[in-house]
Amino acid sequence: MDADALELRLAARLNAEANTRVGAVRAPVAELRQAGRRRLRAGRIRLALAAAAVLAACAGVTVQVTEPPARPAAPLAVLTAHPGPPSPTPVADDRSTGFCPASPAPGSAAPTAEVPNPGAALRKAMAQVGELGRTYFPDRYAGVCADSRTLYVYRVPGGDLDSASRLSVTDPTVLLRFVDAPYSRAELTELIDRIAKDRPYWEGRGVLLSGMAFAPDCAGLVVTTAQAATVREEVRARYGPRILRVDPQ
Amino acid sequence: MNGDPFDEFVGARYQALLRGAYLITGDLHDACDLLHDALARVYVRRRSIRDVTATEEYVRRTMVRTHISRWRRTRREVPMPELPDAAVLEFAPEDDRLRLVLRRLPPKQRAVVALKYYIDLPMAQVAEELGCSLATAKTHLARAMKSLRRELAQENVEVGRGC
Repeated sequence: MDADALELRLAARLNAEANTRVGAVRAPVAELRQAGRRRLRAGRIRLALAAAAVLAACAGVTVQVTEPPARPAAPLAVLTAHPGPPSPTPVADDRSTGFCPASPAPGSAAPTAEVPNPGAALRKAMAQVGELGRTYFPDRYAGVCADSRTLYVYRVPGGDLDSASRLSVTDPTVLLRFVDAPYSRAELTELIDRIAKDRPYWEGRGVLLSGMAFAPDCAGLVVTTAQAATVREEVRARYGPRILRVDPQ
Repeated sequence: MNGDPFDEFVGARYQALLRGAYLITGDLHDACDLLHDALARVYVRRRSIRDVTATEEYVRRTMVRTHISRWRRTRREVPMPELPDAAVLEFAPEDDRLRLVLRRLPPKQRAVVALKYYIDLPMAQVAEELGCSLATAKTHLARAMKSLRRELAQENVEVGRGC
């Protein structure tokens, strides 16, 4: 048998073999999507753990890394730079930069008083989980806070942030508690950006929205304005339920 | 694309990919396993699916390399020199011989044959999908063809005798 004849015969036989054995099949798309999602989640967790490990390693080298990360100042800067009456100090705008509020976290035995120094292990855990949430779970992560030995992670329920946080915090002296939050940090940041873009609209109506901040329990955004009484409903109607309060200046 | 690019890709190319996977592995169950594993990897990158041909190449390459590395890991676990008889008795004798010869080929040789003569890829691309040089791919093909030529020639002789 010459080479060409063998090749032709082989190609025909392979085709027939594949067609006969495999036949007509329908793609199990739903099953494949599920398998893909599982792989995606596993990959995210691996990445998150790797990032947490790097953070932990860096924390051992320099104390600065364990300091709370800088808050995103851009949207607030737009408003506070506005000429007019001095802006109030914003409400704690990032849970990862502060400690737990006086009110206990819902469904948990949260502390009733602020603790000035949560300890190095807790601060390290705060930095790790904060970084983890902001980087890999932006659609779930809302913020973190701590008392003397417990780290409270505020997040939109669901997803893998809980398991990733548990895996990243290895110090046995740190207790982890998870608290449901209605909105993720990313959702609220997006709203801050939107309100900042609307500045000309409000200026045209003689209104100065002088401060915006995440609510202490991550339940929404707190907007501060001197005209709170007159524009409260309008602000809520325009931006929806993510506006928790409109406070007077 | 209006729908999910992953769904569209899978819907359009699943059957062709499964046939290729079957020829690479020589077993339908292994082929499904291999293909599903490769498609799960594609799902992770589904947002970047723009070119169906490139995505299909990626899936095929993943299947070939995964199959070879699985074979390397497990080859020592199966010391049987022959496949069980039951697996080949259900088919016509002519197909049996091809199937047996293909199964006896080492995975790289089998993959080269499938990529070259079933998927009809040029040798340069076969080498790329196999992750080896062109010369190495040609060597694998030459060895595979030598085995196939011997077996298929024997088949001719037997058929001739039968007539």
